[in-house]
Amino acid sequence: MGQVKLDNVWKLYGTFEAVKGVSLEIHDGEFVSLLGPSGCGKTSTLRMVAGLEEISRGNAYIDAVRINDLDPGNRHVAMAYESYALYPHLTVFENVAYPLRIRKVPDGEITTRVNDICASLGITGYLNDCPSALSGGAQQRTGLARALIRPASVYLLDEVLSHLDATERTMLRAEIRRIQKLMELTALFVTHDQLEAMAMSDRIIVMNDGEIQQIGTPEEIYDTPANLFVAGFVGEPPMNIISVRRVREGGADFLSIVDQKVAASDLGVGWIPDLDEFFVGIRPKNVTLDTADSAAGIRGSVHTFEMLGDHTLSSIDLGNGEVVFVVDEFDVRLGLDDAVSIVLEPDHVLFYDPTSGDLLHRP
Amino acid sequence: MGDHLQIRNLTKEYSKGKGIHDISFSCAEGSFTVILGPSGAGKTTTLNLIAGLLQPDGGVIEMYGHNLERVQPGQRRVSMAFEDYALYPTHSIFENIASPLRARKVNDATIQEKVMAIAELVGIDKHVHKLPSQVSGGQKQRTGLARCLVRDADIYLLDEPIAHLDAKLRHRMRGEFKRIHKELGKTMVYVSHDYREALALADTVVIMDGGHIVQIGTPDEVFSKPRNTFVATLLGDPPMNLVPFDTVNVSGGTLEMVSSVGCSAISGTAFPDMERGDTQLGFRDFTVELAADASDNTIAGSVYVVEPIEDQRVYTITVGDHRVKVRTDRSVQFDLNAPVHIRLNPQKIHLFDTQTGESLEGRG
Repeated sequence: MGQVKLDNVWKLYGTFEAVKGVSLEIHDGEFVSLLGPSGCGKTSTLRMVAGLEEISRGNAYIDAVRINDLDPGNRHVAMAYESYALYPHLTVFENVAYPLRIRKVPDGEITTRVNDICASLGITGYLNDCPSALSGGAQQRTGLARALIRPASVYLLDEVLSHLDATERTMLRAEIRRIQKLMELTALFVTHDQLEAMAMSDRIIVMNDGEIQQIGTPEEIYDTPANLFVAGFVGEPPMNIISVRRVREGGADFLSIVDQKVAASDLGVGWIPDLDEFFVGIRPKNVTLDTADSAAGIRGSVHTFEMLGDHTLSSIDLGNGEVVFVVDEFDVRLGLDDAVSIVLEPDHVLFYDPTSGDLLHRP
Repeated sequence: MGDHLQIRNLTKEYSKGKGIHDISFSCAEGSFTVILGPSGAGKTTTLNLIAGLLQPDGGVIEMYGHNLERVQPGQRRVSMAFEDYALYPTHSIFENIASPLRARKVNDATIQEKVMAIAELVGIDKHVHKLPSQVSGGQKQRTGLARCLVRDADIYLLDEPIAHLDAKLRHRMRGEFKRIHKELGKTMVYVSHDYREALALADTVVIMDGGHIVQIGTPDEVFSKPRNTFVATLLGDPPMNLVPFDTVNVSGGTLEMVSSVGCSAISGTAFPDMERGDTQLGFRDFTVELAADASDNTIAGSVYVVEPIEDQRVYTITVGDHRVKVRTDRSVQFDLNAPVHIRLNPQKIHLFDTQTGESLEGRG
């Protein structure tokens, strides 16, 4: 079993509201990420589940048992930290074995279990080394092995990849995901890295300013960000947010972008919000460079152009400082200041409310 | 036009074989050259030798055909931006940028004009009145860059000029850099360890490792025709996949590969006929497809892990005892441990000697 439920949970430090009424559920065998910038309340939320912070208001449950007043040791949680927090004088084997030793597990069983978990984390070669002899990556693998070796309802992973170099991070990211899937562990993972969250999670909970912004699968979060914060935080380069005015002329709707007018019908989006002004959101991958000079084209000039090996990245200046990023095929070639037209792929056009920043849903 | 900067057999020895050894390359007038390599490759040493901050143990540096051996750093008409920007803490951003002009007794009106033009170009113009302690690390680095570019020089030497910016800002600034180069039209030599900067900015990429030049070429050449496995894995994220085979046989464009875990055949390659032992097959993650069944041009593996990234999926596939990455559309779905077949594009595969790492393209 491994289920977590938070019901309107708050964390207050004096008068400062670090977590404001968070409600969420993590299902058995699910990998869920808490994603957000520093100070968004993600770590406080994790620490309240772990029992390292008191829950100021609201209720938390693990496997349907209310845990607000339970000691950390009685919550059936295992935790791995950003700082590896290994015992420097113990070998890798003894560091990993430690949670079993204090539970008086027999020696033979300890040996088997340590060897198993260390093999799946690729640290079998270091069992007799002390932590100081290891790379950061191997130390973090040891920290993870120590967290994963004991049965727990839920595994809490606090920024466990953030101190590693890029190569180690990418490798360990995949290893953790594989182990979690194979062992069907329930995991709550805290990260500020949107790529990590996307790569590892069944579902992502995006937080900002102590509040949940959106809960969804990586695909849902990427395809339809619930508001401008999520749109800007998830995806690199981030979603283009284009300021648009709606103009009605001769019974037809036009969208005015900088000083260019495009008929809503030419854009092919089928529906536009009933507002005078709004934002259009579109991913750089869903903007195409238009050579045919079609009616839906928006004219601009090439501000920057970069060949990046497997793709190209350009930014198109539409005037008045409105710049749209375009991710295109690797063999596209543009010169700076070239005149070009861009077309927004209609299926991928999103609309956002200029006041609330929220996604405007089609009726 | 013609060669503005020419470097021939340049050598600088440090203890334990460190330093640079027999470096030769040239830069055309107004060109953008990126020296790319990991730390310790000798990139900064090369730049310091061009600037005259170090004396070479051998070799020649020429500017417009003129040997610089006896030319003092101050007389070389080069301007250098350092990774460690070293700003004057008590001077405003404006005065920091202006300092090389003040030292040359340029008049105030010209200074005002030049400093503001450069400040705008690097995007620091709104902060010129502030002190270094009042701006972010990224803005400090832009200030250092502006101070380098404000000088009237023939060649600008830029040592990791955007390395300290956070990822998002670095990506933005990378694009802007090409504009800066276009506006100024000057010869630039830029040092980086980030392959994206090299591909995006360079006319010519000079790839260094361990004090030696490994390959010189256009961004397209070094990315699509890497000379060895070092270059193949230095460029690209993820790096090029490499799978070792015990024997490889090419006959009439058909490639037969045998390893301890199986054999595969690829037809329609451009390789010359060959028959050889230890060979690595190289391919990039975005040039292949995943299929449930074996067919022409496939190699067999199993799914190690799947990661959804943006609108795609990144599969890690176990092939023999190696792991490779394959990028697919989101619609391609295989479960953990499922057997799969990787369909290769015969025009987009590479062969390397396993021992030396050298590319076997164009060799019989």
